[in-house]
Amino acid sequence: MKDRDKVASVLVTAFAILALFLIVNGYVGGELVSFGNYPEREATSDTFENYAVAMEYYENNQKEMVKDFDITVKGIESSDFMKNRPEEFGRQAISRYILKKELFVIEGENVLPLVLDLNARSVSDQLEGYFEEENKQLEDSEVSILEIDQKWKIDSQNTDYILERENDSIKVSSYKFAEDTGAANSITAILWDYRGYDTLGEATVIFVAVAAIAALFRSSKEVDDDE
Amino acid sequence: MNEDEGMSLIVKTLTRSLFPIMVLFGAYVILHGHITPGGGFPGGVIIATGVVMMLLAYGAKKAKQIVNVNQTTILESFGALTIAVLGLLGIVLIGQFLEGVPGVGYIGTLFSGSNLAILNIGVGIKVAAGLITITYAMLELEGGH
Repeated sequence: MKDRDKVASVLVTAFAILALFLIVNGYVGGELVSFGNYPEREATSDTFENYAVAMEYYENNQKEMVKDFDITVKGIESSDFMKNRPEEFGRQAISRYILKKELFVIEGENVLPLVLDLNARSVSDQLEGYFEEENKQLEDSEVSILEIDQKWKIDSQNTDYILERENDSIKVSSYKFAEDTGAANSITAILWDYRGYDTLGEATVIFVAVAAIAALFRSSKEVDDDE
Repeated sequence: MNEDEGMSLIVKTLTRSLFPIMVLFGAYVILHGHITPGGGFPGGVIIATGVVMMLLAYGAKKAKQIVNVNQTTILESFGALTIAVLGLLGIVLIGQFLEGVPGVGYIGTLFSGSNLAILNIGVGIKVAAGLITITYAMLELEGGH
């Protein structure tokens, strides 16, 4: 029994040292021993800052952007600017509760405000309606669209919904936690992802409780058997 | 199996038909823990309740035919190991404890949610086996029929 205890304590100590080493290794980004792909962990920048950077870029490079923005109305999903510089726009998050979305249509040097109703079925239908009102031909004119989100501007901390563009309709796909964790259930996302350590401790409490109860009752039975 | 053991025929019949449904529902709650309300803890409790129900209706022998103490103890340790191994895999492969090793997947489907789904399965097994272990352990004290 004593030998077994010694072996167990050595194993536990080795396991603890290994775990500590791995934690340190992971913390320094796999510099000690590289097992796999360690992603560069950047500090999550504020969406508001991203917005400011985007606007600064827009102001500085307005004419270049107009060239970049050689897109039609349907290209609101496939804007080169969005694709090439997603970091400057950050996450395009808007709230479901704000049903109007403000867009800016850039035409040459003119910047025209445009308000979209997100309740409507198709965004491009509305855009087409807008350009029909303005007596413009979509095929001929080079239209660029810079998205500016009202919710984003007002409350940069609270990114409730992430919109996913599918074809040319906008639909509410998921929450922020769903994008972070991949779980559609918010409780699971919080329980196992954001507060994973907490839940691990909780599971440990149950484990110890079961072990204690089993040990308590089993020992009393064994004593009875010995007698 | 002793026919006199346990409760009346009505309770036995009802329990016999309810038991698979309870286990199925528990498994559903665990497996869909990352999509619908539920998860490992409630799903495990539902499965454990099904076994305890069989134990009450049929007696300890029938319940131990379904799952005995050795099996529950091993299963509980297995569930705990699943969580620990997944956590360490996160350290080894990505560099952070409990980091999601599998991909996120398409949100809202069964095969999504990175490691949350596997963690739910692990904790579901653990809780179910743990509660059954507690029940058995307490029964052993009173002679266990």
